[in-house]
Amino acid sequence: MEKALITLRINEREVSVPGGSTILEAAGKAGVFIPTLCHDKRVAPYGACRLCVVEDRRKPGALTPSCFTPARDGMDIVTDSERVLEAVRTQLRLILADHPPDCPVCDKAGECTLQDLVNRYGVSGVPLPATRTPGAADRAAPLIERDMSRCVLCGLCVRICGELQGRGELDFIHRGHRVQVGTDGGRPLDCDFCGLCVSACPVGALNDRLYGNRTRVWKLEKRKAFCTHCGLNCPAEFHLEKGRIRRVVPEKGDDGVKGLLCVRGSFGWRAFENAARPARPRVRRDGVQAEVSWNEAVAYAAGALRNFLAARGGGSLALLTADHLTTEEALSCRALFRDRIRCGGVGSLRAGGYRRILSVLGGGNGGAFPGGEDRRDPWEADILLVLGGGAVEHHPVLKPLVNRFLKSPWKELAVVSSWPDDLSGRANLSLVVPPERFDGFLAGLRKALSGERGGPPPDTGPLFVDTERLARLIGLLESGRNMTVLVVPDLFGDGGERARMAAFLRDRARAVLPLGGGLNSRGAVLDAGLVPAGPAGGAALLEAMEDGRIRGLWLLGEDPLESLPGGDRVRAALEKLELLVCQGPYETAAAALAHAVLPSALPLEKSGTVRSLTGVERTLRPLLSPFGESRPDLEILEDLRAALGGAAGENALEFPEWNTDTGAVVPGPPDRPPSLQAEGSSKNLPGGEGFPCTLVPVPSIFGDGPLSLRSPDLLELRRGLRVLMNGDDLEDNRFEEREPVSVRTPFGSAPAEAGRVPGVERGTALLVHVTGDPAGLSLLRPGTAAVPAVIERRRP
Amino acid sequence: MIPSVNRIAFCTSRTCRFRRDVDVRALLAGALETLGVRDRIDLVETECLISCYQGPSIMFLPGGQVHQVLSEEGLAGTLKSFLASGGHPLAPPPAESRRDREIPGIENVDFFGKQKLVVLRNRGHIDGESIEEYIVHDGYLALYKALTAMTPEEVIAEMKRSGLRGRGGAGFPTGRKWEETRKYNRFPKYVICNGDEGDPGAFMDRSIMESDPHAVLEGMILCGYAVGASRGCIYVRAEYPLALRMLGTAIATAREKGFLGRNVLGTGFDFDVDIYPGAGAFVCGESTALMFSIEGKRGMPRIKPPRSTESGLWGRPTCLNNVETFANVPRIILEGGEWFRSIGTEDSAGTKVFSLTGAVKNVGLVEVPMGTDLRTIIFDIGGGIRGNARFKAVQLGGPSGGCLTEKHLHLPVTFDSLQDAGAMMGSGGIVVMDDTNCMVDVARFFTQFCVDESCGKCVPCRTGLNVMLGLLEKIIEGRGEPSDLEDLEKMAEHVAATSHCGLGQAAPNPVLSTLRHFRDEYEAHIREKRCPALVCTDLLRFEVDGDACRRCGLCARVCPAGAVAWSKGEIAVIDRDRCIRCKSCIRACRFRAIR
Repeated sequence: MEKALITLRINEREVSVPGGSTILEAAGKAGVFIPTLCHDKRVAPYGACRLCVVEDRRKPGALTPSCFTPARDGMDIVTDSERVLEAVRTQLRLILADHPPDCPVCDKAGECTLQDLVNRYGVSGVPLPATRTPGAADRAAPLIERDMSRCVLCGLCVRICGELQGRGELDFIHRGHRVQVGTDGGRPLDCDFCGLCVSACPVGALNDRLYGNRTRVWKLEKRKAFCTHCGLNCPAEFHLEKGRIRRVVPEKGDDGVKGLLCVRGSFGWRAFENAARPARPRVRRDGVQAEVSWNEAVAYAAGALRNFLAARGGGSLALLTADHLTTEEALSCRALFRDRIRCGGVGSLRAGGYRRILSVLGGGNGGAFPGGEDRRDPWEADILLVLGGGAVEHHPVLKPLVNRFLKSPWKELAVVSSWPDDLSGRANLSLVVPPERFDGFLAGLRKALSGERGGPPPDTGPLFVDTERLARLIGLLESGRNMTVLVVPDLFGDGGERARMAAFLRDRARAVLPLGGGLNSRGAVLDAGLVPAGPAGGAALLEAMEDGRIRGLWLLGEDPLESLPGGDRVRAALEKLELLVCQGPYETAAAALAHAVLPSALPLEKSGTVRSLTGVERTLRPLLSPFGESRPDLEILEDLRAALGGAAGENALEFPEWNTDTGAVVPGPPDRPPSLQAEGSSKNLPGGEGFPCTLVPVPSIFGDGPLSLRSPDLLELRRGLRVLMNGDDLEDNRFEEREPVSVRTPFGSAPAEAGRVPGVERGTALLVHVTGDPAGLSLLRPGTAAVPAVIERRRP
Repeated sequence: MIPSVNRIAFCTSRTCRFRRDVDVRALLAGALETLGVRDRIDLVETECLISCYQGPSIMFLPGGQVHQVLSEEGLAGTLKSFLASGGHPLAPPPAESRRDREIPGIENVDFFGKQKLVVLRNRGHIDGESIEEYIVHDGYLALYKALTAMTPEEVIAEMKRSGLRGRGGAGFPTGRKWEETRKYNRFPKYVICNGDEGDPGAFMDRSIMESDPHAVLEGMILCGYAVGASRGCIYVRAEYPLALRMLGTAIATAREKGFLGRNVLGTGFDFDVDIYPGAGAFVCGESTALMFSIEGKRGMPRIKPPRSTESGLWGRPTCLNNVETFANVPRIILEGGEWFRSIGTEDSAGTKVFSLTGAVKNVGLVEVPMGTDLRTIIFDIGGGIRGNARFKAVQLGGPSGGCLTEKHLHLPVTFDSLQDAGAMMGSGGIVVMDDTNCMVDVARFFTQFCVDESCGKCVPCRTGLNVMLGLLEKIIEGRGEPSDLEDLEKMAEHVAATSHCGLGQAAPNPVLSTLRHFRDEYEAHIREKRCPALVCTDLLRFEVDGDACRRCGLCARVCPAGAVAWSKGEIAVIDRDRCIRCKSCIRACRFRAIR
């Protein structure tokens, strides 16, 4: 909607802005500085600090706050009259009266808005009797330090937490001069730890504890880059000192993802400092791993590969890649493993669900995304339809984006998921379908929408959802309104059916956006053609390894022991392998079994091209020097290709079904039968007392990706494996919040911590923080979205 | 023997109960029983009878004579003589002999006679809990007229013609607000009645809600019809339990009778009302803070635009008016805007209810046509200053208002007339002060109130007022310096100019107006370290002025610390070591001999 331009004068300068702009915005355009303390483009204007007052020549004497007053045609604004300046100075004096003069011990000094303004407006001395003395900082919570004696009550943290993050952890308490910002009952912060409040605080009241007291702001080198924890690649500013990261802050700006980071981006950077990394390549000789030079390692790996190909053929080798690869690296992978070795499968454990959805949607042979529709701003839609649970758990930065989307009263958020995730809590329409019926439900819905008759789909029985909500959903989908579809994979499930649903809706949607991918998942599929053909979830891979179809495994940043459910089965399968190569940045559990360990560089240590989940192409530039002797994957792969020499795949098996390009949308019944009833009936469970339930593994807001799992601070927030259930179930079974319990399934058992979560059906428990937890993984089966389980009190 | 009295209404509101907490119903029943007429006279519980100064009040109907209950015996005697003669205890003494005297009407008593009751017309005449009685007094007739014979646009046109302006204090034209709300086509729309009366010394809205809740309700329904709303909310402070009860009953009975709910009066118009008790935050009387409070959020004023008429409660178009505004609406619809406009002044039509409190003789509710001057209100209706003190100042508009002096008494009270003098009509609280009030202390009281009640959002209101309070306390405690007055004035002007909402913008008014009209008192505090009104304890020396002392010994008798030495015929002497500075002696001394 183009609004007519209006013209006004600010300090004698004429400026034209679109109607509806504020005076402050107009001043910005005219290049006139107006002081503010409570203003942040990420949230709505608030008008608390009253520093932005200006005078309108047509209304002499009156002071107008410019941050929210709309500019009007013909206004004649003055920002530097003596009256305005005196008002600003008085305001600053008042703020100083309630602010302790403890700048020497304040981390904010040097980048403090208040300090800057006091300096700029020449306020000196102690002009008013001070009412506040430096207080003790509250360090009860991890990562964020609060020193409320320094708070100037601008309300930015309150607003950014409530309005943007939708969390409402902080709010004003008390009234009048006693007002302060606090939490419920003064308890320590227990929130998403997105750090947006810290990024918004204009003074030193909210501080980054990882940064605090370690350096001074003027020593920092500020480098613009982007976060590499998930596939949204949010723009971020990395503050470095002597080649080490000191902190990461959101890159401020007013468009889209800018100005937003989640807990992983803000506080997960110590993953780059994690020393649990192989410094030099290792190879196994006579059953023992030994550190060798890169030349030896490459020669060894190439030799082993050559021998393996000669003995077993390329079809017996599988490649698992995490999406930390740049597009160039992924292309090199493709050239080596697919075109050269013609290996039996290229898969991914962590990004498998994403790749599967994208390929079903028609990502196909690295071609352009269908119609290119996703290039349009997905948030311009009227309806946001989310298929699958865990959108914001996979990508926490979606929380503020969705909240921003929902600000307009006519926008609708519909979530169809198999578990009550964070988004379904704030959806206008939420349908939670049990995991074992989820695919059947979507297939039935698709039939209903396409006008096929014949009642509910076979094998699913009744739809098990509230019919009124179902009717509203169908109404929304058929309303013809502008719609964006987000498709979210399960943590270990397949996701093919929701992708087919999305593909079916593609004609009605302005954008279809698969989620759940890593750093360059989209580039890996669309630009480099790493396309899976079979269902995601790793079940096929595990079976192939068990029955000997796959005898060699090349791990590129992946570790099945960390992210493939199955526990001992996985370990046994890995131990059977004739060739196992671990190429990746971190020391992993599988590395101990490997024939060769090739240390590679982390994303911030290398350069290349990546494509975000929203389709934006970005260039990665090295901010840090590689750890030890680790090298970018591209160099390793190219060296291998050279060492491997001429054609070696001639006697390879015919390209197996695992790697056929799908090309087009594959409509049809679910690829697998609902497995819960098939193999997980409760009679398989060992007996005993406890809470019998359906266990649904779900992603964690603190990250399940390779980087997140290596950040000590995110690990501390995760607090290990947790089972979250309905509050009534918790009470009926007399579990305390945070009580240690043990979880048993037909496949294994694991210790966990009990907790409550709103919205979960009774008899269902969510399993969080399972990735990276071998005991937790042993509870599950690959490829399944839920298993039956019993939760019982842990015996002392 | 019994003249035309068939009903006695007695007041149960808390102002009367504060004066004397007796069971008026039992007393009346007993007295009537004794007279043997119990079965011929109805006893009706009612709310405010407006003459609070002589509570507990009873009213004889249909005559409307108001009488004060003192004791059982007194009551019996009065009843007997009143029922026998029809005389009125407040009436001037009869000029002629008793036998010849005409029964003096209530209109001959200044307190009642000089008032013009539009909003309060039903007070005492009807039982607020009885919808039937309201209906008998033309209740819901306006609603019927509007729903059956007028379009919403015509209702709005009538409101605009009436010139009614919002009685909450800001004086925004009601018709225009309704028209604004009607303009937006987003539904549901809301009508909100602001009953969060919080000014110290104001109780107009409470009395209206308690004595005539249906009038408020009818006004809201009419508003809902006019603006196209289907939901109404009444936000009432929880400190008004009786108002909450009366409104609750009114809503329930109105629903029963079909004035509320689906299909009002069979016309297809849906409207229902809910009550939201407020938790007593002064700032929640500000319209946007009030809406946040209803939404369950913290009551803090928000920025405008958008105006509430466009995006108010739950982001929907919302029309918010004050209790008294709504109570005016049914009469306007019934009698026509022209009639309403004929009362009051050109810019401020109609009447205004004031709560008259302080040092005045007749404390109570006063409803007069707009434009009545302050002298009439304070001296004719209010009966002048209590005791032998002298009028000193009148404070209008609560903590947001200013103090005016004797020389302003000729000013007519309208929305705009007092602004030049540094005061405002506000919501209608009038506090009269005599020479025992220290104006610096008064300013400190109101500033302290605003410091406590500020929501704390914006800097000038939160901190600036606190700085002002600090300066005032410094002056009161005798540490004042000459530069403080200038600092105080500057800060007050700064707070007024840069605060966000009405609370902060108006909070400096008490300071600014007292600085303007009573600067000499401030000067006395600062330069002479003396409080002329003998209020500020730190500035009192507790010395007996031998010239003024009449040697009566009253001071010695009241002193709780035994610090005053006095023997008959001697000038009292205060032992300042034993003195606890409680000021009992100063209050007791009739000659202002202790300083």
